[in-house]
Amino acid sequence: MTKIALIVNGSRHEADVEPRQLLAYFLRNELGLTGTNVGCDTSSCGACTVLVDGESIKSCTVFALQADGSEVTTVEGIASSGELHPVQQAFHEVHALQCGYCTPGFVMATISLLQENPNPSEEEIRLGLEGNLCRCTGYHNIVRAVQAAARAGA
Amino acid sequence: MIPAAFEYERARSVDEAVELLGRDEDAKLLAGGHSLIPAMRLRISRPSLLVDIGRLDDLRYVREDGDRIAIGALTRHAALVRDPVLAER
Repeated sequence: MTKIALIVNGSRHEADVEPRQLLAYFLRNELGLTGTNVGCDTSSCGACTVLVDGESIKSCTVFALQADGSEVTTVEGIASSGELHPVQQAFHEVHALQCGYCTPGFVMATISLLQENPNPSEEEIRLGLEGNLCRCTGYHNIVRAVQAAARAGA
Repeated sequence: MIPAAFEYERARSVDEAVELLGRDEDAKLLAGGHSLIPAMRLRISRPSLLVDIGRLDDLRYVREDGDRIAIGALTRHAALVRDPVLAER
């Protein structure tokens, strides 16, 4: 076991982990943050996307040890004082979800995309989110939600 | 899908990474991990030691070097797509 210390959604956590513990399972099983879904478990689908030091990563393919000393943000950590994050609000208003399983990953990937490119074109949105899959095939509304979030200055 | 057990070391310099790799003939480098970690999860790959070089920022660069462009081994594809030096050439 190896000791790690990291900040998750603004709170500091110390834990002993096996090196083979993957970040997605650490967040879900050790910290109870089950908003991060595991979809394909092979880094294809992006359902497990979280931010590590502000950049989006697929947490099913990162060891918890790799995040030692980092700041991790999950979907549970983006709303503030009861207000949805603008990206969450946009997904809600535009109905950018069907079953909702991929939604946490899409929301986190969108936050990262808009940080890099605050006013993406439709093509840039589709390219920027190509690492996230929606098995309900709800992509049109997801793109609209990203555009709405960009307009809202997310 | 859980990888087999292994030891983990985070290298703080290229020299340290080389030294760590030399300790164990079944050691592997961990950079982005997009190939290695899925292979480990399927247990196709079972390194005994992982040497994490992911934070060696001096291996992350794009720079002109005479009539060549040098690209650091840890430069991400996304960084290359956005790189002004590459875009210009």
